[in-house]
Amino acid sequence: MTKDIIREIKSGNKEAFEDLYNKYADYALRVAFAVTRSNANAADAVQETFIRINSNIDTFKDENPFDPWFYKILINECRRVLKINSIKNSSMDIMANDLYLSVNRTPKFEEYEDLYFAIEKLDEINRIPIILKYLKGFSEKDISHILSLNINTVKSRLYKGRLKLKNFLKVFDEGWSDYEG
Amino acid sequence: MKGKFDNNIKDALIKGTDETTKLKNEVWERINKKIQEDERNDIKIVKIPRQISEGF
Repeated sequence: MTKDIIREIKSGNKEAFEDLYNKYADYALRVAFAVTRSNANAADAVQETFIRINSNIDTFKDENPFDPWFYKILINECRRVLKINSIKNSSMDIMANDLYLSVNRTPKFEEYEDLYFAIEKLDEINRIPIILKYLKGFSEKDISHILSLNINTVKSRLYKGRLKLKNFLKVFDEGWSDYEG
Repeated sequence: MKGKFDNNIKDALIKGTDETTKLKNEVWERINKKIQEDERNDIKIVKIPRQISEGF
């Protein structure tokens, strides 16, 4: 299915690019938001990812799986957006952009809210593998390709990430001041 | 036990990012606008040398 869409995009079919967007945008936005922790940053990262996909689709080799290629670009764009915004914008600007995008930044759910908050508190090196594995369902091998890491490093980061989440849930009742991620 | 915790992480991530899907249409409009702008700029880049050469 995806390979057919890619073939159509390569042959110049503009509607196929919209098909690709409709197929990938939901999870791309979810992953980008979980990585960047901002709607404005997520929107920027997903926008630039699809623009890069559109202009570089000819470099994608049909025999390779598309998803790791797509998410490698997305994660790189998330990191780039985070880097630019950490230099240019204050957190107030990001919040203003989120208001402009008419979506509330704070997750509105009660069940698992503590766990999601704990994931947000994780360092990037543990957070991104956790997001790719549990939100998108990537294998450790795919994650190692997306992040250009050794597979054992990915396993270690996932293990430590899970451990930190469990520790967080244990100390949650004692208050945030004791928790250091 | 590990499986239950793994499922909880998955559910937390799905519920925590639900709101972002509302951005889908807005981001698509931005992508289209940017691609059209880039295409217009590409046309201008092609035209500039011709206009300069005609001036000489």
